[in-house]
Amino acid sequence: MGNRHVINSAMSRLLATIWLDCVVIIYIVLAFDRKVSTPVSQWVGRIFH
Amino acid sequence: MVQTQTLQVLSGIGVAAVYLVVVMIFGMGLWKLLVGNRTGQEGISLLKSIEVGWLGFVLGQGVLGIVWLFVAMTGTFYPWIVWVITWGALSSGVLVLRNDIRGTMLNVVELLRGARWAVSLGPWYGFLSMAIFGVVVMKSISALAPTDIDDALMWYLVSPLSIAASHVFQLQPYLSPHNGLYPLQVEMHWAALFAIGNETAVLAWDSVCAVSLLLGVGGLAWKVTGEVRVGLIAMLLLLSTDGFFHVMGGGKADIGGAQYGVAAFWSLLLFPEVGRKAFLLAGGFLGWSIASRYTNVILLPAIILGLYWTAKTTTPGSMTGRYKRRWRKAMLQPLVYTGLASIMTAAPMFVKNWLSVGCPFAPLIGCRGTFWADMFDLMGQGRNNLSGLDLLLYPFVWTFSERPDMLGNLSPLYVGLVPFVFILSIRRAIPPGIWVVGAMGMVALGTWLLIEPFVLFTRFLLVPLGLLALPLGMAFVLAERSVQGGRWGARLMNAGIMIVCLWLIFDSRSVVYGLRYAVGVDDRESKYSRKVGYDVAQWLNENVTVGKRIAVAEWEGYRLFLKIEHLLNSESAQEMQWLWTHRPQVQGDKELMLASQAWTPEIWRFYLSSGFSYVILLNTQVKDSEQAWKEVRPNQSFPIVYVGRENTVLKIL
Repeated sequence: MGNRHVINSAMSRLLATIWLDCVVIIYIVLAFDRKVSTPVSQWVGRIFH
Repeated sequence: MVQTQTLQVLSGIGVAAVYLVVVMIFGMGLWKLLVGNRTGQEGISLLKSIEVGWLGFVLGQGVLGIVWLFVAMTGTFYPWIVWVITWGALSSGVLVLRNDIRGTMLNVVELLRGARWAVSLGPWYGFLSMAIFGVVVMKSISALAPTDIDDALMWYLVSPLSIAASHVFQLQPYLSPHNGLYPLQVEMHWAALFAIGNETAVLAWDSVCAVSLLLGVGGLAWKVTGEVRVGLIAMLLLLSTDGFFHVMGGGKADIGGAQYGVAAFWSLLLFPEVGRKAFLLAGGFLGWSIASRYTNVILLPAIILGLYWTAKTTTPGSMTGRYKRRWRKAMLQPLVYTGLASIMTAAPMFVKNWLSVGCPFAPLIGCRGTFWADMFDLMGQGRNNLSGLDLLLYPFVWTFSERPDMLGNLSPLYVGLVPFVFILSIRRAIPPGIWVVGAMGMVALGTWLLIEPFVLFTRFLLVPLGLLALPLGMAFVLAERSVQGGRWGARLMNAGIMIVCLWLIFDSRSVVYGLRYAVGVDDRESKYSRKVGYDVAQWLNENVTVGKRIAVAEWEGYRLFLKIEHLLNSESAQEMQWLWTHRPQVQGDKELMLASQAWTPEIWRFYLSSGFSYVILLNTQVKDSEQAWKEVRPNQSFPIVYVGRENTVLKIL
């Protein structure tokens, strides 16, 4: 039971970490697209918009 | 040879620096008088030094703001009087603190040593504190260049400039819908800085207030959690919120006003140390926050929650149980103290409106039918910037999307850190006090959602965001501490924070323009030449002598571009009211300009008989107004003297 709690806790921390990193990366991509319009950011921006 | 522009920038920085020292010492002196002998004690902790220094600084701003308003209302807002009061404030502060000078100096040294100490938190938090410091320095240097925030050019900087130039506060008809009737607690300091300094001094001071707000949020987090690391994460949360980052040093009153809000919540935490004075301080700061922005009224329910929490920590049982009477006293007394103090500090701003136009809550309530109230209502009609679906996806729209006038997103760290709060082991480890602060933030945000659900302006919500940063920062620090995956687990967690820091450093690249302006490579022309109305304003500034009247009611341009003497000599309040009453009514016109569709001969007769030499028209109106002109002056050609991009200038006298 105790081991399962530790595993669950570690797993939820890992998922939360992945969520945090994903949110930050998507934000930066969109913000970059808005602020500095480059061919690459335009292409990435089209996907996200 | 140093250029004139460089000298202006340097003198602006110098005036702002002097003003910072004055407000700090004056405020710390007041703090000593009001709260007790706690400013100059030797050997007090760094956190306590920040607490006394920061709260004193905000207190000093609050009191001096009222003093400036009083001076402006009496029509004596002359530079020499501002200097006398400034030196008087400094002298009185020094006098009160004279026995604590050594202790105060030690506190300052302690504060400076804090930078070295921050590095000793370890390489990761050392990097974080250096990144925050670096970004703040770069943004402050960026603020040396003229602001590019449209509202500042149109209203926020012009209102204090006209007080400084005219030496008096009165209704400002050329600034609709602001008109000087908005709360001016923050702008009164700008008026003082315009009087004794220049625009650079004002923008530098705005940067100082932004740094102060960051320190307030960080210090509050440190105070509540006992963890400096949480303070750093909380500062990063606010700094990386584009609605703060974009506005800092830009000449908008929101950041200056948010300081008072954070100080109000911090004051409540002082209850165990200073007793009832904590409620007076909280109420005073709350009043000043409302006197800075009406929208800060959303803090009121959150403060009441804070008072309830304070009562709960000191009173046994429940509100309805056998301790009912003790509860009533525990709630009533703080409510009365806080309420009275907030009324006292907010009242001068309402008295200002009452004396100026007869309606204390102008332009929100009362005096309908006046040109300024009608224009305010027109402005409000188009303010909604969210749809029903946006409301359902509020945090995601706020973080990732862009809506009209939103002026910047929410930091991705807010949405990004939320899952950490829900991890059971972390949730249990977060102390109750932090939950309460987070709840106060949610209550303030929820109040805004109740009042204006379809309006999302990030800058209005800086205080709730500062409060919400505490539980999120704490959850991150706890998760990081208990991470099980070894180095890689911690690195993955820190990666998100690191990317945000690197983004902020990249986004501070406008520092180059601040430096270019400071050394005279760029000038206002290069900054503003493409802005609406700049061409017309420059032509008028260069070709029209001061004293000739210019009609600006139709001008689309930013008011800051025109010489302040011309602006002060434009349409008076009575003339604007006449124009508003006699304008052809245009449905759905949100341009806030008079007679913006159809011109009548009556309007020309009015301008000719009122002594106006120049009239600015929209280019799209030239045809209509020319026909009306021919009816008034059939033998005279239409006297166009300058045609700009959006506007045309006529010389009628």
